[in-house]
Amino acid sequence: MTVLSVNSSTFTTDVIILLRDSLRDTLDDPIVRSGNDKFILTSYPSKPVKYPVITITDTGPRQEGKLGMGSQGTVLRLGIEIRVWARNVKERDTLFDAIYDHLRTNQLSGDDLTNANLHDFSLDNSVNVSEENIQSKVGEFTYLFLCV
Amino acid sequence: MVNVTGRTGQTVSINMLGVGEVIRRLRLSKKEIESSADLGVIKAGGFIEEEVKESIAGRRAEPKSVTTGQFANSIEFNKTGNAKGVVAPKLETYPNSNQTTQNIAVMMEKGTSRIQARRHFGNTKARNMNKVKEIIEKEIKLGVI
Repeated sequence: MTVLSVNSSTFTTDVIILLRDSLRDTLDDPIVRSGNDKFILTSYPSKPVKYPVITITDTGPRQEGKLGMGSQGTVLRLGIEIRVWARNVKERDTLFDAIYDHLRTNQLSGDDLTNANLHDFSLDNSVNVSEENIQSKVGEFTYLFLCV
Repeated sequence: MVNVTGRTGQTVSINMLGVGEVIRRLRLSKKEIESSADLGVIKAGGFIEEEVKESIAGRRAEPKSVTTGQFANSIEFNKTGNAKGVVAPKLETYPNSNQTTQNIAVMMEKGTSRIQARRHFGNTKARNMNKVKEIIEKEIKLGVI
């Protein structure tokens, strides 16, 4: 399934798939995978996976306001969690930097994410979660979306 | 007193009475609003602290995260400035382990490769945002009247 822009009636799934495809086309997978193994997932893995992986999930939209009196249009702040699950700290940080760099440099008019109706990119916070064998970094991003 | 020259050349004097009193009352109101907002944030912080503890204990939508009770008991509200505060776990180390309550808080909030995220803090914030505003607004209204 390919999504070219975020639509008002399907914005929750659209934004996740759009970002997944955009990152999949940009980031280099550090390992060679067999057919069914995926590098970028749209939910937390429920089966064993080959690390590193990246998960893109939705943290919930927030309505910031309406587009004026008598309008049914709304301004939504779409929350997205992008989490890098890596084998070590260096790999985790390298992948996270690449994700941030791609999203940061795709926010002006003419770039693919803005054309897809996603505006005002923001990294709200990021947290490291260290486990014995897996190092992950959770970044919470938001985009402004005009739901009209 | 302000002197203004009229159209026919004569001077008109205008006396503004009570300016000092108005300024004094506005300054007093500002202080009242600030101290009421501060009190409101303390009350709201206490409320959120209890809500996070209830969430950890499994009495809200999230699964409970209690084994010894140390994590839930470590949650506290700390005032960080005028009308500012933070609800977070107090830094404590678990006995016979190098884990701290703050590490556990991050793992529970974000999940790990083996534990599903329980979002005790994020969900509490989302559930109670309006209630927090209500508590602070009520305190400000009470303080100013």
